[in-house]
Amino acid sequence: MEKTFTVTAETGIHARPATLLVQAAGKFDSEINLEYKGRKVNLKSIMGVMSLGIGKDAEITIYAEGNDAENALNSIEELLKKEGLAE
Amino acid sequence: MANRMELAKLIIENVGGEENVASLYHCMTRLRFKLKDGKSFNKQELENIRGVVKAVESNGQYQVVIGNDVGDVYQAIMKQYAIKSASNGEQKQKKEGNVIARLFNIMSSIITPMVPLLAGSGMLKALLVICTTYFGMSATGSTYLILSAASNAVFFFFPIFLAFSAARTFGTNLFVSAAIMAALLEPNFTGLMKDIGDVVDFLGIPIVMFKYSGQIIPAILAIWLFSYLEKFLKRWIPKVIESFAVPMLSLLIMVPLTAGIIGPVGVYLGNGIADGIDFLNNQSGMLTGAIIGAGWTFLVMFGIHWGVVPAMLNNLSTKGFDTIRPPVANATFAQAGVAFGVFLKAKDKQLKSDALASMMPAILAGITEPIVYGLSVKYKRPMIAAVIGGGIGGAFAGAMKTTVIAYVFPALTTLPAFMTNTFVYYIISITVAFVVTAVLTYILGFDEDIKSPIKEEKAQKMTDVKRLTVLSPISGDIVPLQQVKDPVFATEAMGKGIAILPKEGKVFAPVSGEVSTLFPTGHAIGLTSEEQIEVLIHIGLDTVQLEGKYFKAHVKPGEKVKQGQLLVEFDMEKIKAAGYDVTTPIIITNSDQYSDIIETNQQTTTKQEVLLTAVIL
Repeated sequence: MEKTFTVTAETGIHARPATLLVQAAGKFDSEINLEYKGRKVNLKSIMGVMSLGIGKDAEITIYAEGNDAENALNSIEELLKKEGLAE
Repeated sequence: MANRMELAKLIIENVGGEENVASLYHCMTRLRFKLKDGKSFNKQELENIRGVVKAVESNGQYQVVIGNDVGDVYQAIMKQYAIKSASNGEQKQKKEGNVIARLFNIMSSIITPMVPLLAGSGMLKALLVICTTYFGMSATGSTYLILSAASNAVFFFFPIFLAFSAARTFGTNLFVSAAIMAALLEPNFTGLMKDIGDVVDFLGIPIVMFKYSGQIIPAILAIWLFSYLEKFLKRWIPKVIESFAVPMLSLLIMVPLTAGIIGPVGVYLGNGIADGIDFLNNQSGMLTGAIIGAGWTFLVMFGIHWGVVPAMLNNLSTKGFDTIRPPVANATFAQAGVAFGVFLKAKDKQLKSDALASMMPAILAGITEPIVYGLSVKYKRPMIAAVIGGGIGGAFAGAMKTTVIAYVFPALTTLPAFMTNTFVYYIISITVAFVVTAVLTYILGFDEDIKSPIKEEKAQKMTDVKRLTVLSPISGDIVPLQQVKDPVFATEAMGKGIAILPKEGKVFAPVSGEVSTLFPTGHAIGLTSEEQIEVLIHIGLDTVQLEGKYFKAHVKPGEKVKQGQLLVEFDMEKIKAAGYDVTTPIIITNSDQYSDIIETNQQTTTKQEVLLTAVIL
């Protein structure tokens, strides 16, 4: 399962938002990855997320594979919207 | 062979000894000591010990990092030393039989220091018996009597010695405690008694007289109770008169109390245990002997044998001989048999020689720990052989009511203590135990490839303990992560680490590796080291909002860098002037891959000093 978002946060996905995302992803069993500009990283690794250097207006896709994939994606989408990170 | 008991001993020796430890508890990987005198914490020596990963002092607590098996080391320490355990204010383990365990612990801590004296006196006694029986020394001559006094001193004045030892364990005044028990041996007191059980009068209260010489439990019980009285007295008596008033009142209260209640109770308890075992012995010497011979090693492993030791000592002082020790000897010689059996059967040369070497302490001094932990427990099947061999030998010894006349460890060197009319049976029983066990060990065999917990431990700690160091990227003052004014870092949500308040605006590579992350704004840079540690350096808090102003990166994402290389320069003053906190957290973002992350205990750091150590166990 996958879903694409556009980053709206002024400062992109830096330390704080990256941590929130990684913590949220970590709650699920599914394998969750984040793709940006052709590079794919494990969403459960902070360093991985930050290494993508995601800034404002970036287009990112989140992939989830596993038995709680749907829940994972929904939860992450909620977080992105709530924190004003992406839509 | 470094086993846990040895490790425990080495650790305690290097924290200033048992007396210097105010309290001890442990967490997932570290022993946490509260020491009375921190100067005795020998960091260098501790870190040299096999099994110790690191030694640090932090906030007045002295920590010794052991690893996952810290719990076992803690147990080994608590078994050997009378150290107060302090839990972190949280749940104390409510284990079943906790009281019993503490009881045995106390017994052990009181009697263990006296064991060398007991053993030496015992041997002297045994030698004297041989001299009078076989070498015609006169049992009434002054030579004999003087030596007899030497060998008997500790037993006659046992309560006083025990009182000293108990005073150390319970924390009371050594000398007053000794005096309390000494009073019961003093001629004025003993002169009141014509026969045991006589009743005398103290202020109208009846006191049953006993012979306290050679008694064990009364002293321990009395000093234990005295510890409460002493605390109470010290609290209420004015300091001005404390130095004589406390001892005076202690004696005034404790001596009659002990003579009247504690003493008799203690005697009954002591006799009760000994009588109980005697009863079993009489019912079936064979069965009791078999159980002791087979099970003694297990009792020792759990420290429960301390429940039986008072019975042995009691027997020796009341009857002059003991029937519990001979079956115990069978357990010892059975273990020696294990060593011999392993020696014969082992293919590996090192194992062969280790086994033979471990047999020596056992047959010469009765010390079986190297065999028990190094062979029996490790290979399991030999332990079964020892249980059978020890049980058979013990059964025989028990059936023949074999006796010993002194408190000695069973060994070839202590045969004299067993030279009574049952000596022949003793020799037969220990030979049987040794031979049967050795043969069974040989027949049953063992899996030589088992990695012993000890070997694994050693191997792990010697080669596999990885300590990955992360050097400091910036010069400045150390700020504990929890004090950083940003919850994302302070709560360790991103991982464990530390923070630095910079003195200069330069960030150098803390490790060699690859730049895995570099924000275009230059305020945060992450490295993945060659050993796969992920280090994130976040210059200042909320500085992402500066959008790169005042930051200059000298490297690019994906670039390979060497430790010490200049990564980023930043204008500290301008950032501060813009209203930002320049505290720089340094986080190991993959902290969960490591057993522990240990921070430096320095207050300041310069670039390239060790900042963090990640430990993999």
